[in-house]
Amino acid sequence: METYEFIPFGGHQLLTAFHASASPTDPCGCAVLVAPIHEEKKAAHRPLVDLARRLAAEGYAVMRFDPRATGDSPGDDDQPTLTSWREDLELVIDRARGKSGLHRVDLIGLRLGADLAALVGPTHDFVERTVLCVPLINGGRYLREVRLRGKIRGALTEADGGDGAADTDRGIDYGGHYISPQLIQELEAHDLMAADSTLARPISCVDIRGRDSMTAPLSALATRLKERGARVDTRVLIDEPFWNALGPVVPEAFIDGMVHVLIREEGAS
Amino acid sequence: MSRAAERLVELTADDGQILRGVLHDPPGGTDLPPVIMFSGWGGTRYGPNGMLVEAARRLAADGRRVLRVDFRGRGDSDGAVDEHDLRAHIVDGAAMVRWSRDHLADVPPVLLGICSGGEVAVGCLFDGVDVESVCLWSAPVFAAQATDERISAKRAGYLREYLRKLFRPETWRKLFAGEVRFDIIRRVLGRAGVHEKKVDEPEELSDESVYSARCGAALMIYGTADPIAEEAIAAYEGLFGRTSCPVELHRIEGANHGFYALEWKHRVIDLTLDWLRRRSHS
Repeated sequence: METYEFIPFGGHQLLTAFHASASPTDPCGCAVLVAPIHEEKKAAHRPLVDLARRLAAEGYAVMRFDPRATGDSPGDDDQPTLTSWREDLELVIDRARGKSGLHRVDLIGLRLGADLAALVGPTHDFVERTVLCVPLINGGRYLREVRLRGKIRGALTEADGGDGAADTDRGIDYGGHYISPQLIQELEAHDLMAADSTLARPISCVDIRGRDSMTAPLSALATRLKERGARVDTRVLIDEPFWNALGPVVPEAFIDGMVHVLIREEGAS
Repeated sequence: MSRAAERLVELTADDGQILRGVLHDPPGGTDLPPVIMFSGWGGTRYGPNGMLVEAARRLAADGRRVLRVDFRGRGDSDGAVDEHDLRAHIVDGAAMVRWSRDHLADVPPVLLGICSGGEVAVGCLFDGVDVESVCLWSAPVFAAQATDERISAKRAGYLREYLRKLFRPETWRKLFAGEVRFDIIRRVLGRAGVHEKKVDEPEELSDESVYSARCGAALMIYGTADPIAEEAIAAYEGLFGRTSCPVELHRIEGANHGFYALEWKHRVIDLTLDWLRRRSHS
């Protein structure tokens, strides 16, 4: 069973979707899925729905949500910042615990959602495992990609409106999505490699790509997280980068991989 | 004016599966016909760059009820991703119209579709669904066959894009790292993303196509950088001309298929809002 609701939060609302476990009185765990943002969110939406339904069928309770001013959650374009999205995630963690009846939840984040999960999960009292799927790691690098893509689009369309990469004090037009100066500032400062607080909870670093080897930045992040005390496992899932897909896709390796991380291996350990 | 309420709705599709979406409901009631939005082929009810959400909020602030619902196998709706085709989306579109007439107002609604969602709107007309009007944003030729010409045109566009990528350092880094997905490139260039129809899908729009439904007017908006635009404009102007339906056409200079820039997105929404206002005052 799936329950969709807008939950009020400090003057705004968040859309949440709760997928009850196939064993609602005895769920084997609860996961909060943290989606990417901008156009990656649109492309990843259905794969994350499919993942939520699969996990629910396997006995997990799952909560998905639209952070403020994304998807169907209302909000002004200049509202969202990494800080506000972290607040949203913390609220949803509480809500997921309440709905599932479980003391702790797991987080599965994808792309920027993985970075948010990394900022919240490993130090949160009520988060057990944090799964980081292809995190950005470095916000400045993401912004460079954003600007480059805007320039390419501008060159392809040869029109003023297409050159959305032009940086101004008023923010960036990223393919029709607005990135505010505040969000730019926070992304520029965001670097998962730079954090140094001690970590104790398990973290999974997951790469999703066309070959069976982890990219150097994610491998370095895994090493850095171990240095900070976390129990880290790594894996590579051979699948297409579905968060960039133009058409509908079913990333079976990703979905199977997440089931293995949360259920099969947890159950076996 | 206070903000329109947004609430979640669930509809039952013809096969019993649940379609999920959002209703934008302006305060104080309205006599204006509801607007039903149809997303593109692979998309969700948000639309590309969230433009359906933004458009729905703008229209609702202008006093219109707006319904955005995911098709089967898309977004939050039931159904498997790869089990549904254009015909299934048209059936879902008709179910959304019935829901609108049962729950919002028993009047023909406005259908607004982007890309393949525009085909769904036209498909509803072919199926005899009466509408107040239709808005087609970047709608391709209805049920277009994957002809050699179309595949070649799109393939040429993709090739140009790959050639440009060859000049990027990032591409060479990926090549040396073995990260370039040649399987995806082969797939893209193979059929160039042109939809290959199943046997039970609708027939392509032809010079003889007409529909029997009532449709008061049509608005068409395309970007001049959209490779499918001119063929589609000619086909739909012919269709609406044969059915005596007045058409208003806008071309947005430089815009691509998904209107991927704030300026283009806002222009599309402004044009649509203005057109709907003029219709409600006529």
